[in-house]
Order: sequence, then structure tokens, then C-alpha cells
Amino acid sequence: MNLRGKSVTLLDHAIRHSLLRRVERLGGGAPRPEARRRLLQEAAVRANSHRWPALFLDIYPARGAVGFAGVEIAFGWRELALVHAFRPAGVFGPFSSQMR
Amino acid sequence: MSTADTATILRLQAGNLEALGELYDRYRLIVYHTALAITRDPDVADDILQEAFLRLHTYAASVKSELPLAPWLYRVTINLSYTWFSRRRWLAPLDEFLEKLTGPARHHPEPAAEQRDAHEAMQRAIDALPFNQRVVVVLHYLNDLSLQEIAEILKCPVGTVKSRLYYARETLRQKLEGSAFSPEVAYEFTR
Repeated sequence: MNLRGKSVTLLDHAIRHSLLRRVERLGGGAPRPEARRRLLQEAAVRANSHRWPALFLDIYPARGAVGFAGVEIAFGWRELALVHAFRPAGVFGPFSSQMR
Repeated sequence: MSTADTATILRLQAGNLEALGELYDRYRLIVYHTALAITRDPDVADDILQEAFLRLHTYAASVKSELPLAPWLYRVTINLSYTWFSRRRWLAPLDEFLEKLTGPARHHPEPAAEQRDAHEAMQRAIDALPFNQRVVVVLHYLNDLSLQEIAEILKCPVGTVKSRLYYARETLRQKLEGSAFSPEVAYEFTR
């Protein structure tokens, strides 16, 4: 039997086995379950990136909420940002009035 | 390629995000495993997976629906892994220094006994290969791709792939010969 030929075959098996073993050991062999949802969210944001309100949706996370003590109203950052932007005075209205 | 892929790519090109999800379900494992085998870091592999499919979404219009999608995804995965590898090469000394400060590997501490395992020796030897050779080894052995398919993915002649694979195997054989990887240990892989 050709020893060199045999060693090459064994080497092939060993390389393949080692790579498979690594993939199974690291990361459990599969990406994180939430990766799909993250991907589709990010793709949706990028798909809408040409529309300017998307900028606000991207910058201001919806989960950060502002509550008012004693009042049962809580605005999300996203809603506040949109309301702020749609004010007749515009985005810089409040700042310019404070400067005077 | 199945006609299902063609139809799904056409839907993706029309802006259907569900089509992206379907292609992700179909090809996520080959992208993730390839990235993981090259980078050895599950977090990086996750990022590469996401970026590869975001690129598919961004450049959907330029993807030819009548051609197989897998080579396109492999190519993007290799390119992203190379970008990571290039940055990593510069950051490696800093990481090694931080690792010395913080102790053993943070992500995947392994028992000392396993370090002596033949698999570990093989994996270290694969890790030490130049990037171009490592990519060919991963595509050939992990993804079962032929030399012709690898050449198409890497956009290089088949002879180049053959030569990279040859040198990679020679390096691995020399490194493992007479040490941890004796023929007796190797025999278990043939079962």
C-alpha cells in the first residue's frame, strides 16, 4: 500500500473532522435565534433610509420612554422626536427662542 | 439551483423582505459555518452572517436570479472574513496583551487536557495557515466544494486553488507528522 497515499487520506479525514468539530463546538453550530429578526429589522430600516422620518426611527429607540411624575402619560423618545420635528417652529425652534 | 431560489430572488429584487428571510433560512448555515471556521469567533461569525445578507438585500438588483446563489454568498462571506482578518492582524498584539492581563481566553476557555487533543493540534495548524490557504481548506473540507467551484467563488484559476490546497496540506502534514497526529490517532477518523 502506498503509505503517502494513505497518509493523505487520513489527513483529509482529520482536516474535515477538525473543522466540523470546531463549528459544532463554537457557537453551537448555528447562529443566534434572534439573528433573523435583527436582520429583517435592519434591512427594513435600510430600505426606508431614503425617507427622512426613518432617520428619527433609527436614531431614537422606541424603548426609551419619558414619564411625567404624577401624570399617567408616558411618551416614547420616538414619538417625542417626531412631534418635535413636526412643530411649526421646526427642529431648532425651542433652542433659538432660548437664545434670545 | 432550484426554481424556488429564482422565484425568491425575484421577489427580493421587487423589495419583498420576506424573501430575504426565506433565503436567510435556506443559506444561513453555510454562511455562518464558513465564517466561523475562518474567524473562530461566534460573535464575528454572527456579524458576518448579518452583513452578508444585508449586502444581498442591498445589491439584490445585481444578483443574477438564474445563477446559483451559494457562490455569491460564499464570495461575500470570504470578503467579509478577509476584512475582519486584516483588521485583526493589526489588533492582535493588543488583544494578546489584554488576554495576558485578563487571564485565559474570555470566550471559550477549554480544559488543559483538551489542548493536547489531536483535534486541537490540527485546529491550531489550520489557524496558522495563511488566509488564502485557510479559505481554500475551509471551502473544500467543510463545505465540500470542488476545486472548480472554489475557483469560481474566489475568481481565480483552478491551478491556483490546487496549489493553495497542496501547500496547505503539506504544511498540515509536516506540522502534525510524528507529533500529536500519529497514524494511530488518525485511524479513528476513518471509521
